[in-house]
Amino acid sequence: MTGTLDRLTDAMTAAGDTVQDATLRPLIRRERGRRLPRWVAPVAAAAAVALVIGSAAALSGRQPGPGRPVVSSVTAPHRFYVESALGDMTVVRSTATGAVTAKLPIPYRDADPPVVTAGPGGAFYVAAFVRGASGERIYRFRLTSTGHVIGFSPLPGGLLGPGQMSDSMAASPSGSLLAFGLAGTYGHNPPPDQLVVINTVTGAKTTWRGGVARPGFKWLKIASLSWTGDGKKLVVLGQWTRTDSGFYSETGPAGRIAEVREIDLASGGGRVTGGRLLLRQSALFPYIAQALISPDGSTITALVLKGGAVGSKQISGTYPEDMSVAQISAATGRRLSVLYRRRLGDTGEINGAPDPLALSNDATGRNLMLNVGLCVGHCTTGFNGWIRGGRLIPLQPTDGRLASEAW
Amino acid sequence: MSYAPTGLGDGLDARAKPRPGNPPAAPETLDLALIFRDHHAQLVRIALLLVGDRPTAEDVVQDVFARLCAPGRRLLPATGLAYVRAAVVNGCRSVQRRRVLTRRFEGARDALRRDSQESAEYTAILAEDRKQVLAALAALPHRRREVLVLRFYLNLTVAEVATMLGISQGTVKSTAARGLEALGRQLREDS
Repeated sequence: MTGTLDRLTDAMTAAGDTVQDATLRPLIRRERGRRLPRWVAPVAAAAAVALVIGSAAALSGRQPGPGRPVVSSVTAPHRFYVESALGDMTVVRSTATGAVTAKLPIPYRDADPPVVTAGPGGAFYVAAFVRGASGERIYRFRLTSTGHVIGFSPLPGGLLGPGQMSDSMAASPSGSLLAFGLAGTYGHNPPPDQLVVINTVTGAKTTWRGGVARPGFKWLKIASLSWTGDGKKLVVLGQWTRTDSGFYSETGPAGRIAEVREIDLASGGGRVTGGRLLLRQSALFPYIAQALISPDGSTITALVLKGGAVGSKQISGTYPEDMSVAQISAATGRRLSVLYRRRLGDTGEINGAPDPLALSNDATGRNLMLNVGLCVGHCTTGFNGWIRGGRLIPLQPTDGRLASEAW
Repeated sequence: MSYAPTGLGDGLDARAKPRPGNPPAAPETLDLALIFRDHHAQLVRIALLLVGDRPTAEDVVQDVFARLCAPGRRLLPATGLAYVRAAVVNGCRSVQRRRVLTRRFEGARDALRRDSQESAEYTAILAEDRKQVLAALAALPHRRREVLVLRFYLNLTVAEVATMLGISQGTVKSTAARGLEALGRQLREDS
Protein backbone atom coordinates (compact mmCIF):
# COMPACT_ATOMS: atom_id res chain seq x y z
CA MET A 1 0.00 0.00 0.00
CA THR A 2 2.86 2.39 0.82
CA GLY A 3 4.29 1.84 -2.65
CA THR A 4 0.97 2.71 -4.21
CA LEU A 5 0.66 5.81 -2.04
CA ASP A 6 4.18 6.92 -2.96
CA ARG A 7 3.48 6.49 -6.65
CA LEU A 8 0.18 8.32 -6.29
CA THR A 9 1.63 11.34 -4.48
CA ASP A 10 4.52 11.47 -6.92
CA ALA A 11 2.20 11.40 -9.91
CA MET A 12 -0.20 13.96 -8.44
CA THR A 13 2.66 16.31 -7.55
CA ALA A 14 4.11 16.03 -11.05
CA ALA A 15 0.71 16.64 -12.65
CA GLY A 16 0.07 19.59 -10.34
CA ASP A 17 3.46 21.09 -11.16
CA THR A 18 2.42 21.44 -14.80
CA VAL A 19 0.09 24.22 -13.65
CA GLN A 20 2.00 27.44 -13.02
CA ASP A 21 0.59 30.84 -12.18
CA ALA A 22 2.10 32.52 -15.19
CA THR A 23 0.38 30.18 -17.63
CA LEU A 24 -3.14 30.49 -16.21
CA ARG A 25 -5.88 32.45 -17.89
CA PRO A 26 -6.88 35.59 -16.03
CA LEU A 27 -10.27 35.64 -14.35
CA ILE A 28 -12.86 36.91 -16.80
CA ARG A 29 -15.79 38.53 -15.11
CA ARG A 30 -19.01 37.93 -16.96
CA GLU A 31 -20.61 40.84 -18.66
CA ARG A 32 -23.83 41.84 -17.01
CA GLY A 33 -26.64 43.71 -18.65
CA ARG A 34 -27.60 47.15 -17.45
CA ARG A 35 -29.38 46.88 -14.14
CA LEU A 36 -33.01 47.82 -14.05
CA PRO A 37 -34.56 49.53 -11.04
CA ARG A 38 -35.55 47.14 -8.25
CA TRP A 39 -39.25 47.69 -8.67
CA VAL A 40 -39.24 46.49 -12.28
CA ALA A 41 -38.90 42.76 -11.55
CA PRO A 42 -41.86 42.37 -9.13
CA VAL A 43 -44.07 44.62 -11.23
CA ALA A 44 -43.21 42.70 -14.40
CA ALA A 45 -43.80 39.36 -12.63
CA ALA A 46 -47.17 40.51 -11.31
CA ALA A 47 -48.17 41.76 -14.75
CA ALA A 48 -47.16 38.46 -16.34
CA VAL A 49 -49.14 36.44 -13.78
CA ALA A 50 -52.19 38.67 -14.27
CA LEU A 51 -51.90 38.28 -18.04
CA VAL A 52 -51.64 34.48 -17.83
CA ILE A 53 -54.56 34.15 -15.43
CA GLY A 54 -56.64 36.60 -17.46
CA SER A 55 -55.96 34.78 -20.70
CA ALA A 56 -56.72 31.36 -19.17
CA ALA A 57 -59.94 32.69 -17.67
CA ALA A 58 -60.97 34.30 -20.95
CA LEU A 59 -60.32 31.06 -22.83
CA SER A 60 -62.14 28.85 -20.33
CA GLY A 61 -64.97 31.33 -19.82
CA ARG A 62 -64.74 31.30 -16.04
CA GLN A 63 -62.66 32.75 -13.30
CA PRO A 64 -60.24 30.44 -11.47
CA GLY A 65 -61.57 29.69 -8.03
CA PRO A 66 -59.61 30.38 -4.91
CA GLY A 67 -56.80 27.90 -4.38
CA ARG A 68 -57.25 26.31 -7.77
CA PRO A 69 -53.83 25.63 -9.30
CA VAL A 70 -53.05 27.06 -12.71
CA VAL A 71 -51.86 24.19 -14.87
CA SER A 72 -51.18 23.61 -18.53
CA SER A 73 -54.29 23.94 -20.71
CA VAL A 74 -53.15 20.94 -22.82
CA THR A 75 -54.09 17.56 -21.41
CA ALA A 76 -51.05 15.34 -21.08
CA PRO A 77 -51.34 11.77 -22.37
CA HIS A 78 -49.98 10.37 -19.11
CA ARG A 79 -50.54 11.60 -15.59
CA PHE A 80 -47.05 10.76 -14.41
CA TYR A 81 -43.55 10.48 -15.76
CA VAL A 82 -40.33 9.07 -14.34
CA GLU A 83 -37.30 11.32 -14.22
CA SER A 84 -33.70 10.48 -13.50
CA ALA A 85 -32.31 13.90 -12.76
CA LEU A 86 -28.74 15.06 -12.67
CA GLY A 87 -27.39 14.86 -9.14
CA ASP A 88 -30.69 13.84 -7.63
CA MET A 89 -32.87 10.83 -6.86
CA THR A 90 -34.83 9.11 -9.61
CA VAL A 91 -38.39 10.28 -9.03
CA VAL A 92 -41.96 10.01 -10.30
CA ARG A 93 -43.55 13.37 -11.12
CA SER A 94 -47.00 14.60 -11.96
CA THR A 95 -46.97 15.64 -15.63
CA ALA A 96 -49.34 18.53 -14.96
CA THR A 97 -47.65 20.10 -11.97
CA GLY A 98 -44.19 18.53 -11.73
CA ALA A 99 -44.85 17.56 -8.12
CA VAL A 100 -42.88 14.51 -6.93
CA THR A 101 -45.21 11.63 -6.07
CA ALA A 102 -42.59 8.95 -5.36
CA LYS A 103 -38.86 8.37 -5.14
CA LEU A 104 -37.33 5.15 -6.41
CA PRO A 105 -35.54 3.04 -3.81
CA ILE A 106 -32.32 2.98 -5.79
CA PRO A 107 -29.17 3.12 -3.70
CA TYR A 108 -28.00 6.02 -5.78
CA ARG A 109 -24.36 6.54 -6.74
CA ASP A 110 -24.63 10.14 -7.67
CA ALA A 111 -22.03 10.38 -10.43
CA ASP A 112 -23.96 8.02 -12.65
CA PRO A 113 -27.59 8.98 -13.21
CA PRO A 114 -29.81 6.02 -14.11
CA VAL A 115 -31.44 5.50 -17.52
CA VAL A 116 -35.19 4.86 -17.54
CA THR A 117 -37.55 3.51 -20.18
CA ALA A 118 -41.26 2.67 -20.29
CA GLY A 119 -42.71 -0.72 -21.14
CA PRO A 120 -46.23 -1.98 -21.79
CA GLY A 121 -48.94 -2.08 -19.13
CA GLY A 122 -47.45 0.70 -17.04
CA ALA A 123 -44.11 -1.08 -16.55
CA PHE A 124 -40.84 0.82 -16.30
CA TYR A 125 -37.22 -0.27 -16.41
CA VAL A 126 -34.31 1.58 -14.89
CA ALA A 127 -30.57 0.84 -15.20
CA ALA A 128 -28.50 2.21 -12.35
CA PHE A 129 -25.17 1.81 -10.66
CA VAL A 130 -25.66 0.50 -7.15
CA ARG A 131 -23.34 0.15 -4.23
CA GLY A 132 -21.35 -3.06 -4.11
CA ALA A 133 -21.55 -3.69 -7.86
CA SER A 134 -19.02 -2.41 -10.38
CA GLY A 135 -21.51 -2.57 -13.26
CA GLU A 136 -25.05 -1.33 -13.58
CA ARG A 137 -28.08 -3.30 -12.45
CA ILE A 138 -31.43 -3.16 -14.25
CA TYR A 139 -34.63 -2.96 -12.18
CA ARG A 140 -38.30 -2.99 -13.13
CA PHE A 141 -41.34 -1.48 -11.45
CA ARG A 142 -44.86 -0.20 -12.04
CA LEU A 143 -46.75 2.91 -11.10
CA THR A 144 -50.07 3.00 -9.28
CA SER A 145 -52.89 5.29 -10.37
CA THR A 146 -51.69 7.78 -7.77
CA GLY A 147 -48.11 7.82 -9.02
CA HIS A 148 -46.55 5.54 -6.44
CA VAL A 149 -44.02 2.79 -7.13
CA ILE A 150 -44.93 -0.89 -6.74
CA GLY A 151 -43.18 -4.14 -7.63
CA PHE A 152 -39.70 -2.64 -7.63
CA SER A 153 -37.33 -5.59 -8.17
CA PRO A 154 -34.10 -6.53 -9.98
CA LEU A 155 -34.54 -7.86 -13.49
CA PRO A 156 -33.35 -11.47 -13.87
CA GLY A 157 -29.95 -11.38 -15.56
CA GLY A 158 -29.93 -7.60 -15.25
CA LEU A 159 -26.62 -7.25 -13.41
CA LEU A 160 -24.08 -6.04 -15.96
CA GLY A 161 -20.39 -6.88 -15.91
CA PRO A 162 -17.68 -4.77 -14.25
CA GLY A 163 -17.50 -1.28 -15.72
CA GLN A 164 -20.51 -1.87 -17.96
CA MET A 165 -23.54 0.37 -18.35
CA SER A 166 -26.48 0.76 -20.68
CA ASP A 167 -26.43 3.51 -23.30
CA SER A 168 -30.09 3.26 -24.27
CA MET A 169 -32.98 0.90 -23.53
CA ALA A 170 -36.31 -0.17 -25.07
CA ALA A 171 -38.85 -2.72 -23.89
CA SER A 172 -40.66 -4.93 -26.42
CA PRO A 173 -44.44 -4.42 -26.87
CA SER A 174 -45.22 -7.57 -24.90
CA GLY A 175 -42.73 -6.74 -22.17
CA SER A 176 -41.05 -10.12 -22.50
CA LEU A 177 -37.81 -8.65 -23.91
CA LEU A 178 -35.70 -5.65 -23.03
CA ALA A 179 -33.08 -4.34 -25.47
CA PHE A 180 -30.18 -2.14 -24.45
CA GLY A 181 -26.88 -0.84 -25.77
CA LEU A 182 -24.08 -2.24 -23.64
CA ALA A 183 -21.22 0.23 -23.15
CA GLY A 184 -18.09 0.50 -21.05
CA THR A 185 -17.76 3.34 -18.56
CA TYR A 186 -15.44 6.25 -19.13
CA GLY A 187 -11.95 6.03 -17.66
CA HIS A 188 -11.27 2.70 -19.32
CA ASN A 189 -10.70 2.04 -22.98
CA PRO A 190 -14.26 1.13 -23.85
CA PRO A 191 -14.95 -1.41 -26.56
CA PRO A 192 -17.54 -0.59 -29.23
CA ASP A 193 -21.11 -0.86 -27.98
CA GLN A 194 -22.92 -4.16 -28.23
CA LEU A 195 -26.64 -4.69 -28.65
CA VAL A 196 -28.09 -6.96 -25.96
CA VAL A 197 -31.64 -8.34 -25.75
CA ILE A 198 -32.55 -9.85 -22.42
CA ASN A 199 -35.51 -12.12 -21.66
CA THR A 200 -37.29 -10.40 -18.77
CA VAL A 201 -38.51 -13.72 -17.36
CA THR A 202 -35.51 -16.02 -17.65
CA GLY A 203 -32.68 -13.47 -17.90
CA ALA A 204 -31.30 -15.18 -21.04
CA LYS A 205 -29.34 -12.80 -23.26
CA THR A 206 -28.73 -12.53 -26.99
CA THR A 207 -25.93 -10.30 -28.25
CA TRP A 208 -25.21 -8.50 -31.50
CA ARG A 209 -21.75 -6.99 -31.88
CA GLY A 210 -21.30 -3.77 -33.83
CA GLY A 211 -19.49 -4.75 -36.97
CA VAL A 212 -17.78 -2.34 -39.38
CA ALA A 213 -20.12 0.09 -41.15
CA ARG A 214 -17.50 1.04 -43.75
CA PRO A 215 -13.79 0.27 -43.91
CA GLY A 216 -12.21 1.96 -40.91
CA PHE A 217 -15.49 2.78 -39.16
CA LYS A 218 -15.46 0.21 -36.38
CA TRP A 219 -16.47 2.15 -33.24
CA LEU A 220 -20.17 1.91 -32.54
CA LYS A 221 -22.38 3.96 -30.29
CA ILE A 222 -25.97 2.71 -29.98
CA ALA A 223 -27.86 5.99 -29.88
CA SER A 224 -31.44 4.75 -29.76
CA LEU A 225 -33.56 1.60 -29.86
CA SER A 226 -37.20 0.88 -30.67
CA TRP A 227 -39.43 -2.11 -31.51
CA THR A 228 -41.99 -2.83 -34.17
CA GLY A 229 -45.48 -3.58 -32.87
CA ASP A 230 -45.20 -7.35 -33.38
CA GLY A 231 -42.06 -7.49 -31.24
CA LYS A 232 -40.15 -9.35 -33.94
CA LYS A 233 -37.98 -6.52 -35.21
CA LEU A 234 -35.71 -4.21 -33.29
CA VAL A 235 -34.63 -0.93 -34.89
CA VAL A 236 -31.21 0.42 -33.95
CA LEU A 237 -29.68 3.81 -34.59
CA GLY A 238 -25.94 3.17 -34.67
CA GLN A 239 -23.30 5.88 -34.93
CA TRP A 240 -19.97 4.56 -36.19
CA THR A 241 -16.70 6.47 -36.05
CA ARG A 242 -13.17 5.64 -37.18
CA THR A 243 -11.71 5.86 -33.70
CA ASP A 244 -13.08 6.18 -30.23
CA SER A 245 -13.22 9.93 -30.73
CA GLY A 246 -14.14 12.53 -33.30
CA PHE A 247 -16.24 15.64 -32.75
CA TYR A 248 -18.85 16.19 -35.36
CA SER A 249 -18.04 19.89 -35.36
CA GLU A 250 -14.43 19.04 -36.18
CA THR A 251 -14.85 16.15 -38.55
CA GLY A 252 -18.18 16.99 -40.20
CA PRO A 253 -20.36 14.26 -41.69
CA ALA A 254 -17.29 12.43 -43.03
CA GLY A 255 -16.09 11.57 -39.54
CA ARG A 256 -19.22 9.75 -38.48
CA ILE A 257 -21.68 7.36 -40.07
CA ALA A 258 -25.18 7.07 -38.70
CA GLU A 259 -27.32 4.17 -39.85
CA VAL A 260 -30.76 2.99 -38.87
CA ARG A 261 -30.89 -0.78 -39.13
CA GLU A 262 -33.62 -3.30 -38.49
CA ILE A 263 -32.57 -6.38 -36.56
CA ASP A 264 -34.61 -9.54 -36.95
CA LEU A 265 -34.87 -11.22 -33.54
CA ALA A 266 -35.03 -14.58 -35.28
CA SER A 267 -31.39 -14.15 -36.30
CA GLY A 268 -30.46 -15.01 -32.71
CA GLY A 269 -27.38 -12.76 -32.57
CA GLY A 270 -24.62 -11.66 -34.91
CA ARG A 271 -23.67 -8.15 -35.96
CA VAL A 272 -25.65 -4.93 -36.02
CA THR A 273 -24.31 -4.25 -39.51
CA GLY A 274 -26.03 -7.48 -40.55
CA GLY A 275 -29.45 -5.91 -39.99
CA ARG A 276 -31.52 -4.48 -42.85
CA LEU A 277 -30.56 -0.88 -43.63
CA LEU A 278 -33.53 1.49 -43.33
CA LEU A 279 -31.88 4.90 -43.34
CA ARG A 280 -28.39 6.27 -43.65
CA GLN A 281 -26.91 9.66 -42.94
CA SER A 282 -27.07 11.76 -46.13
CA ALA A 283 -27.05 15.32 -47.40
CA LEU A 284 -30.72 15.56 -46.42
CA PHE A 285 -30.05 14.09 -42.98
CA PRO A 286 -26.41 14.93 -42.21
CA TYR A 287 -26.73 14.26 -38.48
CA ILE A 288 -29.20 11.69 -37.18
CA ALA A 289 -29.25 11.96 -33.40
CA GLN A 290 -32.19 9.66 -32.55
CA ALA A 291 -34.49 7.40 -34.57
CA LEU A 292 -37.63 5.52 -33.51
CA ILE A 293 -39.67 3.10 -35.62
CA SER A 294 -43.47 3.26 -35.75
CA PRO A 295 -45.37 0.17 -34.49
CA ASP A 296 -46.25 -0.84 -38.08
CA GLY A 297 -42.63 -0.48 -39.17
CA SER A 298 -43.43 1.98 -41.96
CA THR A 299 -42.20 5.26 -40.50
CA ILE A 300 -39.08 6.41 -38.73
CA THR A 301 -39.43 9.37 -36.40
CA ALA A 302 -35.99 10.93 -36.20
CA LEU A 303 -34.31 13.77 -34.39
CA VAL A 304 -32.09 15.27 -37.08
CA LEU A 305 -29.71 18.23 -37.14
CA LYS A 306 -28.35 20.18 -40.06
CA GLY A 307 -26.67 23.46 -40.86
CA GLY A 308 -23.56 24.93 -39.34
CA ALA A 309 -22.30 24.34 -35.81
CA VAL A 310 -22.68 27.68 -34.07
CA GLY A 311 -20.52 28.41 -31.06
CA SER A 312 -20.00 31.21 -28.62
CA LYS A 313 -17.15 33.70 -28.53
CA GLN A 314 -15.17 31.35 -26.34
CA ILE A 315 -15.69 27.91 -27.79
CA SER A 316 -16.74 26.38 -31.08
CA GLY A 317 -20.16 24.84 -31.47
CA THR A 318 -20.81 21.17 -30.91
CA TYR A 319 -23.87 20.51 -33.08
CA PRO A 320 -25.48 21.76 -36.30
CA GLU A 321 -27.90 24.49 -35.32
CA ASP A 322 -31.16 23.48 -37.05
CA MET A 323 -32.98 20.74 -35.17
CA SER A 324 -36.10 19.00 -36.38
CA VAL A 325 -38.17 15.97 -35.47
CA ALA A 326 -39.09 14.46 -38.81
CA GLN A 327 -41.11 11.49 -40.00
CA ILE A 328 -39.27 9.52 -42.65
CA SER A 329 -40.45 6.64 -44.80
CA ALA A 330 -38.68 3.44 -43.79
CA ALA A 331 -39.19 2.07 -47.30
CA THR A 332 -37.82 4.98 -49.34
CA GLY A 333 -35.88 7.15 -46.88
CA ARG A 334 -37.89 10.22 -47.95
CA ARG A 335 -39.05 12.80 -45.49
CA LEU A 336 -42.81 12.67 -45.00
CA SER A 337 -43.42 15.48 -42.53
CA VAL A 338 -41.84 17.59 -39.81
CA LEU A 339 -43.40 17.29 -36.36
CA TYR A 340 -41.34 19.94 -34.65
CA ARG A 341 -38.56 22.29 -35.60
CA ARG A 342 -36.31 24.53 -33.57
CA ARG A 343 -33.08 26.44 -33.98
CA LEU A 344 -30.58 25.43 -31.35
CA GLY A 345 -28.24 28.36 -31.86
CA ASP A 346 -25.14 28.43 -29.72
CA THR A 347 -24.21 24.88 -28.79
CA GLY A 348 -20.75 25.78 -27.52
CA GLU A 349 -20.10 24.27 -24.13
CA ILE A 350 -17.76 25.48 -21.45
CA ASN A 351 -17.38 22.23 -19.60
CA GLY A 352 -16.03 20.13 -22.40
CA ALA A 353 -19.00 17.89 -22.99
CA PRO A 354 -21.72 18.22 -25.60
CA ASP A 355 -25.36 18.15 -24.61
CA PRO A 356 -27.56 15.09 -24.66
CA LEU A 357 -30.12 14.79 -27.43
CA ALA A 358 -32.85 12.30 -26.58
CA LEU A 359 -36.14 11.45 -28.25
CA SER A 360 -38.28 8.84 -26.53
CA ASN A 361 -41.72 7.38 -26.92
CA ASP A 362 -44.30 5.86 -24.66
CA ALA A 363 -45.48 2.27 -24.96
CA THR A 364 -48.15 3.25 -27.51
CA GLY A 365 -45.55 4.79 -29.81
CA ARG A 366 -47.65 7.94 -30.20
CA ASN A 367 -46.44 10.36 -27.55
CA LEU A 368 -42.96 11.71 -28.14
CA MET A 369 -40.83 13.21 -25.43
CA LEU A 370 -37.89 15.43 -26.33
CA ASN A 371 -34.92 16.20 -24.12
CA VAL A 372 -32.18 18.50 -25.36
CA GLY A 373 -29.43 19.81 -23.20
CA LEU A 374 -28.24 20.07 -19.64
CA CYS A 375 -27.06 23.58 -19.83
CA VAL A 376 -24.50 25.23 -17.65
CA GLY A 377 -21.85 27.77 -18.53
CA HIS A 378 -22.51 29.40 -21.88
CA CYS A 379 -25.05 26.96 -23.20
CA THR A 380 -28.54 28.36 -23.67
CA THR A 381 -30.20 25.60 -25.63
CA GLY A 382 -31.65 23.28 -22.99
CA PHE A 383 -35.31 22.32 -23.11
CA ASN A 384 -37.51 19.30 -22.66
CA GLY A 385 -41.13 18.44 -23.15
CA TRP A 386 -43.58 16.50 -25.28
CA ILE A 387 -44.65 17.20 -28.80
CA ARG A 388 -48.26 17.95 -29.72
CA GLY A 389 -49.50 19.68 -32.87
CA GLY A 390 -46.13 21.06 -33.86
CA ARG A 391 -45.54 22.54 -30.41
CA LEU A 392 -43.33 21.51 -27.55
CA ILE A 393 -45.30 21.36 -24.29
CA PRO A 394 -42.70 21.89 -21.55
CA LEU A 395 -42.47 19.24 -18.87
CA GLN A 396 -42.87 20.51 -15.33
CA PRO A 397 -40.77 21.69 -13.61
CA THR A 398 -39.18 23.73 -16.38
CA ASP A 399 -35.83 24.28 -14.72
CA GLY A 400 -33.72 22.28 -17.17
CA ARG A 401 -32.84 19.74 -14.48
CA LEU A 402 -33.17 16.57 -16.49
CA ALA A 403 -31.27 13.57 -17.54
CA SER A 404 -33.48 10.71 -18.60
CA GLU A 405 -37.26 10.53 -18.69
CA ALA A 406 -39.97 8.02 -19.55
CA TRP A 407 -43.76 7.76 -19.47
CA MET B 1 -26.36 24.93 -11.47
CA SER B 2 -24.87 25.92 -8.15
CA TYR B 3 -21.50 24.68 -7.01
CA ALA B 4 -22.15 25.89 -3.46
CA PRO B 5 -20.75 23.36 -1.00
CA THR B 6 -23.00 21.88 1.61
CA GLY B 7 -20.71 20.87 4.43
CA LEU B 8 -19.38 24.26 5.42
CA GLY B 9 -22.47 26.25 6.18
CA ASP B 10 -22.55 28.77 3.40
CA GLY B 11 -19.04 29.96 4.15
CA LEU B 12 -20.25 33.47 3.46
CA ASP B 13 -20.56 36.44 5.76
CA ALA B 14 -24.17 37.27 6.50
CA ARG B 15 -23.03 40.61 7.86
CA ALA B 16 -22.17 41.73 4.38
CA LYS B 17 -25.76 42.85 3.95
CA PRO B 18 -26.55 45.05 6.98
CA ARG B 19 -30.18 45.52 7.86
CA PRO B 20 -31.65 48.95 7.32
CA GLY B 21 -31.17 51.14 10.34
CA ASN B 22 -28.33 49.09 11.81
CA PRO B 23 -24.73 50.13 11.32
CA PRO B 24 -22.65 47.65 9.32
CA ALA B 25 -20.79 45.09 11.43
CA ALA B 26 -17.02 45.10 11.57
CA PRO B 27 -15.90 43.82 8.17
CA GLU B 28 -13.74 40.96 9.36
CA THR B 29 -13.96 39.26 6.01
CA LEU B 30 -11.64 37.75 3.47
CA ASP B 31 -11.26 39.39 0.12
CA LEU B 32 -11.96 37.04 -2.77
CA ALA B 33 -9.21 38.71 -4.75
CA LEU B 34 -6.69 37.59 -2.15
CA ILE B 35 -7.82 33.99 -2.43
CA PHE B 36 -7.62 34.25 -6.18
CA ARG B 37 -4.13 35.72 -6.09
CA ASP B 38 -2.75 33.26 -3.56
CA HIS B 39 -4.59 30.05 -4.42
CA HIS B 40 -5.70 30.21 -8.05
CA ALA B 41 -3.00 27.84 -9.29
CA GLN B 42 -3.53 25.41 -6.45
CA LEU B 43 -7.29 25.30 -7.11
CA VAL B 44 -6.66 24.60 -10.79
CA ARG B 45 -4.27 21.80 -9.78
CA ILE B 46 -6.97 20.21 -7.62
CA ALA B 47 -9.47 20.51 -10.46
CA LEU B 48 -6.94 19.11 -12.93
CA LEU B 49 -6.47 15.99 -10.79
CA LEU B 50 -10.23 15.56 -10.49
CA VAL B 51 -11.35 16.19 -14.08
CA GLY B 52 -8.21 15.12 -15.94
CA ASP B 53 -7.73 17.99 -18.37
CA ARG B 54 -6.52 21.50 -17.86
CA PRO B 55 -8.94 23.59 -19.95
CA THR B 56 -11.88 22.10 -18.07
CA ALA B 57 -10.06 22.52 -14.75
CA GLU B 58 -9.54 26.22 -15.47
CA ASP B 59 -13.17 26.57 -16.55
CA VAL B 60 -14.40 25.07 -13.29
CA VAL B 61 -12.28 27.41 -11.17
CA GLN B 62 -13.30 30.39 -13.30
CA ASP B 63 -16.95 29.49 -12.85
CA VAL B 64 -16.57 29.29 -9.08
CA PHE B 65 -14.90 32.68 -8.82
CA ALA B 66 -17.37 34.23 -11.24
CA ARG B 67 -20.24 33.08 -9.04
CA LEU B 68 -18.57 34.28 -5.87
CA CYS B 69 -17.94 37.69 -7.43
CA ALA B 70 -21.58 38.63 -6.91
CA PRO B 71 -21.93 41.99 -5.17
CA GLY B 72 -22.11 41.87 -1.38
CA ARG B 73 -20.52 38.46 -1.04
CA ARG B 74 -17.65 38.20 1.38
CA LEU B 75 -15.91 35.09 2.62
CA LEU B 76 -15.26 34.44 6.28
CA PRO B 77 -11.55 34.18 7.08
CA ALA B 78 -11.99 30.94 9.02
CA THR B 79 -13.71 28.96 6.30
CA GLY B 80 -13.38 31.03 3.14
CA LEU B 81 -10.63 29.04 1.45
CA ALA B 82 -12.24 25.74 2.42
CA TYR B 83 -15.50 27.02 0.96
CA VAL B 84 -13.87 27.86 -2.36
CA ARG B 85 -12.07 24.51 -2.44
CA ALA B 86 -15.30 22.67 -1.78
CA ALA B 87 -17.03 24.67 -4.51
CA VAL B 88 -14.28 23.64 -6.93
CA VAL B 89 -14.66 19.98 -5.92
CA ASN B 90 -18.42 20.27 -6.48
CA GLY B 91 -17.83 21.90 -9.85
CA CYS B 92 -15.56 19.03 -10.87
CA ARG B 93 -18.21 16.55 -9.79
CA SER B 94 -20.74 18.28 -12.02
CA VAL B 95 -18.35 17.99 -14.94
CA GLN B 96 -17.95 14.25 -14.32
CA ARG B 97 -21.71 13.81 -14.15
CA ARG B 98 -22.12 15.62 -17.42
CA ARG B 99 -19.55 13.35 -19.01
CA VAL B 100 -21.42 10.26 -17.89
CA LEU B 101 -24.67 11.71 -19.21
CA THR B 102 -23.02 12.57 -22.46
CA ARG B 103 -21.89 8.97 -22.80
CA ARG B 104 -25.42 7.81 -22.29
CA PHE B 105 -27.07 10.04 -24.81
CA GLU B 106 -24.67 11.32 -27.36
CA GLY B 107 -21.08 11.62 -28.41
CA ALA B 108 -19.72 8.95 -26.10
CA ARG B 109 -16.40 8.78 -27.83
CA ASP B 110 -16.33 12.55 -28.16
CA ALA B 111 -16.50 13.01 -24.43
CA LEU B 112 -13.85 10.39 -23.89
CA ARG B 113 -11.61 12.18 -26.31
CA ARG B 114 -12.00 15.46 -24.51
CA ASP B 115 -11.43 13.69 -21.22
CA SER B 116 -8.06 12.49 -22.35
CA GLN B 117 -6.88 15.55 -24.24
CA GLU B 118 -3.55 16.64 -22.81
CA SER B 119 -1.35 19.60 -23.54
CA ALA B 120 2.07 18.97 -25.03
CA GLU B 121 3.65 20.35 -21.89
CA TYR B 122 1.62 18.04 -19.69
CA THR B 123 2.54 15.03 -21.78
CA ALA B 124 6.20 15.91 -21.95
CA ILE B 125 6.62 16.39 -18.23
CA LEU B 126 4.78 13.33 -17.08
CA ALA B 127 6.60 10.03 -17.33
CA GLU B 128 4.78 6.95 -18.49
CA ASP B 129 4.51 5.54 -14.98
CA ARG B 130 2.93 8.72 -13.67
CA LYS B 131 0.45 8.79 -16.51
CA GLN B 132 -0.47 5.22 -15.68
CA VAL B 133 -1.11 6.18 -12.05
CA LEU B 134 -3.18 9.21 -13.07
CA ALA B 135 -5.21 7.10 -15.50
CA ALA B 136 -5.94 4.64 -12.69
CA LEU B 137 -6.90 7.56 -10.44
CA ALA B 138 -9.26 8.89 -13.13
CA ALA B 139 -10.95 5.49 -13.34
CA LEU B 140 -11.91 5.52 -9.65
CA PRO B 141 -15.42 6.55 -8.60
CA HIS B 142 -15.54 10.28 -7.98
CA ARG B 143 -15.85 10.06 -4.19
CA ARG B 144 -12.69 7.94 -3.87
CA ARG B 145 -10.83 10.20 -6.26
CA GLU B 146 -11.83 13.28 -4.29
CA VAL B 147 -10.77 11.77 -1.01
CA LEU B 148 -7.38 10.67 -2.37
CA VAL B 149 -6.68 14.07 -3.94
CA LEU B 150 -7.74 16.08 -0.89
CA ARG B 151 -6.04 13.78 1.61
CA PHE B 152 -2.78 12.99 -0.18
CA TYR B 153 -2.27 15.89 -2.59
CA LEU B 154 -3.55 18.75 -0.50
CA ASN B 155 -2.50 16.95 2.70
CA LEU B 156 -5.73 17.90 4.44
CA THR B 157 -6.53 16.14 7.71
CA VAL B 158 -9.20 13.47 7.86
CA ALA B 159 -11.44 15.93 9.71
CA GLU B 160 -10.96 18.63 7.08
CA VAL B 161 -11.74 16.24 4.24
CA ALA B 162 -14.82 15.02 6.11
CA THR B 163 -16.08 18.58 6.59
CA MET B 164 -15.41 19.54 3.00
CA LEU B 165 -17.19 16.54 1.52
CA GLY B 166 -19.94 16.39 4.13
CA ILE B 167 -19.17 12.83 5.20
CA SER B 168 -17.99 11.23 8.45
CA GLN B 169 -14.34 10.85 9.36
CA GLY B 170 -14.74 7.08 9.34
CA THR B 171 -16.02 7.24 5.78
CA VAL B 172 -13.02 9.33 4.78
CA LYS B 173 -10.65 6.71 6.22
CA SER B 174 -12.40 3.75 4.68
CA THR B 175 -12.81 5.51 1.32
CA ALA B 176 -9.11 6.40 1.25
CA ALA B 177 -8.11 2.83 2.11
CA ARG B 178 -10.41 1.35 -0.51
CA GLY B 179 -9.29 3.90 -3.06
CA LEU B 180 -5.64 3.04 -2.53
CA GLU B 181 -6.43 -0.65 -2.65
CA ALA B 182 -8.33 -0.27 -5.94
CA LEU B 183 -5.55 1.88 -7.32
CA GLY B 184 -2.93 -0.72 -6.42
CA ARG B 185 -5.03 -3.47 -7.95
CA GLN B 186 -5.50 -1.50 -11.16
CA LEU B 187 -1.79 -0.71 -11.43
CA ARG B 188 -0.85 -4.35 -10.93
CA GLU B 189 -3.29 -5.34 -13.68
CA ASP B 190 -1.89 -2.74 -16.04
CA SER B 191 1.76 -3.64 -15.47
